[in-house]
Amino acid sequence: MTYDLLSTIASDLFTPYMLGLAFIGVVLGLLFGALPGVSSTMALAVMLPFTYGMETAPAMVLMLAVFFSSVYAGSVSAILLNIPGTPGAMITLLDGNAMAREGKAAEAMAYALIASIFGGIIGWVLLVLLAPTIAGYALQFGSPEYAAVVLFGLALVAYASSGDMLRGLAAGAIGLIIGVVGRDQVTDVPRFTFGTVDLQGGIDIIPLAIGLFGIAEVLSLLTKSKDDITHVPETRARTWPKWSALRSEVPTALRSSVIGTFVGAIPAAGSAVAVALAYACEKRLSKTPEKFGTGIPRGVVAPEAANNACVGGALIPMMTLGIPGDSITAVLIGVLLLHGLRPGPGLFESQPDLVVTIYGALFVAIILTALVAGLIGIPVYRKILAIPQRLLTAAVLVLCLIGAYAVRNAVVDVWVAIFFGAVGFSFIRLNIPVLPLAFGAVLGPLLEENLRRTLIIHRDIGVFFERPISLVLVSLSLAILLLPMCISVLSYLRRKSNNS
Amino acid sequence: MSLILDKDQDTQAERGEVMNDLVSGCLCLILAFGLAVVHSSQAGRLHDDFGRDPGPAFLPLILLSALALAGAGLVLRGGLRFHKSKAITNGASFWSIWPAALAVGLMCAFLPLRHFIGAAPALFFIAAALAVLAGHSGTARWPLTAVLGGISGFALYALFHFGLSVPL
Repeated sequence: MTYDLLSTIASDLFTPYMLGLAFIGVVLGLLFGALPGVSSTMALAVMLPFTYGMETAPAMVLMLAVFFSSVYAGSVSAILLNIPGTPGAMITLLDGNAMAREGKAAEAMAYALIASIFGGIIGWVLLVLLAPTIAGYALQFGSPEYAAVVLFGLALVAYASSGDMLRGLAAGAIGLIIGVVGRDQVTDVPRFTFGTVDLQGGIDIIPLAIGLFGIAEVLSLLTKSKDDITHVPETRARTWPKWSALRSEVPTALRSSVIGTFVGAIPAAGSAVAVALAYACEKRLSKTPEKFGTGIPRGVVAPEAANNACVGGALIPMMTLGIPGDSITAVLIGVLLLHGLRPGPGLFESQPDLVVTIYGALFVAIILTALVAGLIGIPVYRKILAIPQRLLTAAVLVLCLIGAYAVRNAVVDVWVAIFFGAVGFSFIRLNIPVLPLAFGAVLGPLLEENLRRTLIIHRDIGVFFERPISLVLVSLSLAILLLPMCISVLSYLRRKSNNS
Repeated sequence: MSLILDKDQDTQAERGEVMNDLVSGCLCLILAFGLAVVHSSQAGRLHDDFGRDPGPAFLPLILLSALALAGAGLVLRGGLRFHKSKAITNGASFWSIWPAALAVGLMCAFLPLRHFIGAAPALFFIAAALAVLAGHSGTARWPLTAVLGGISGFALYALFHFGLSVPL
């Protein structure tokens, strides 16, 4: 029975029509995903009308191909231009862009691709084998656990981002405040809107990230003299890493992929938490943690493997429970609903062949992304670095303006990008890490929603210490945040007593 | 000799860090108190009793307190190290930010320009000006840089407007 099902699916999936659709999806995903401001969700939304006239299986093949390849391509703009297209690529730029500045952009993209494919396959395997089990665990997450996981994610970012921890905490607090700008979702009361209508819907994360990372970095580059800018000829650098170097990254990729799949399976936790967790985990395990952020392959492999493993993870609650984990899976559920299908346990009973086709389509998308990005994508992307610096600078700034506008076709987003460009530039000058601010803005609404829900339901903040998952997460967060401070205070007191 | 130079550079870097602590700490404090004033004076139902819900002012107050604490910590740390390092302000480094300020000004000009002459010419002119600004310290001829920069701006406009149907 299983053999018959698989052979039927294989014969359906490996037809020129299906493979052609997957190829088109991968190419479009690689193109859209690499453009700042064009998120995976937007790429899927653009492609949605093309699926109206298709059968369900081809539609899912096209959408999953766009989905997976655009998630990988988000790392391209992070590595080349220091602009993360998605929150999932915000950690990749730390080491990826540092490698690009050393003339190793193609190698960084190759590491990102290999890690993405590895993460994608691990996520796929866990999706196929363990979907119902993981979904069961994910459903045990109540509001205290969600709030604790967000706190944990923020603590990890403050720990993992380079620079001073106290400044990182200040940046994180500013980011969380930015996250609560707009009308409160429960009471509809406006906060920090300064009387403007434009801010009532809150501040969108993509224009903020474009400003903080893209515009700020270019502004910083403009203030440097020509002698300060080290330029390594890209043509001399190798693209594909040596096998021995790759082998040493396998444990990192494996750990990060498992983290990515499990976090991806938690509805609304998202890839931002997964990449922060994977990066901090590797930094913690490394014998040379000080090298993270300076341009090492491990700093690219960990977040990229986790980010792409999240794709498989995000499909777990979607397929097994019918719950969209994020905006991307919400669009995918929309495709199924358009074709009269409701994802969830019933889908496994009523349409087992479609479920297996979706699994197969994701696998085909992963393999095609590897082939297309490896053979065409990276050689084309690296040509961007051959553009003279002055033209690239102008093009990046214009791309930032258009990219910020394209998110919602809103003028206010352009102002947001410019404003946060200036803020990010000031942060660079003052040596304040930018990453905690961006993560705070992403996770702020999630933290508030779950913190308030917890207090409404349980009335007492002590509930965080009564439930095992939240207790562990809160304890770990406090340890991450307070231990370095305690150590520095103790060493200061010890120095003082020695001097006296 | 190199040891003396290294030591001098270390001292300069430490002075910079002390100033960074003081400036960022003061900014955090100003931001925290400024936003606290805005938050507490905001009209409407911000401070009503919402029953079991801690209300919309709950998290912002915690965050503003955390920001003020972090700012105070930075000021304290900078202050403690201030006497040791004899921190000084560097006027020359302040003036070195003029290309960045000009670039921000050019980007701010995009929206008014778009209103008057349309998105495509506005992006052409702004990309041209930004390219000239980015190449100001180089040896490339500025008219050619301006034309190539303008073309790149127009190409990006075409990609988004015609390729992705973004109504610019």
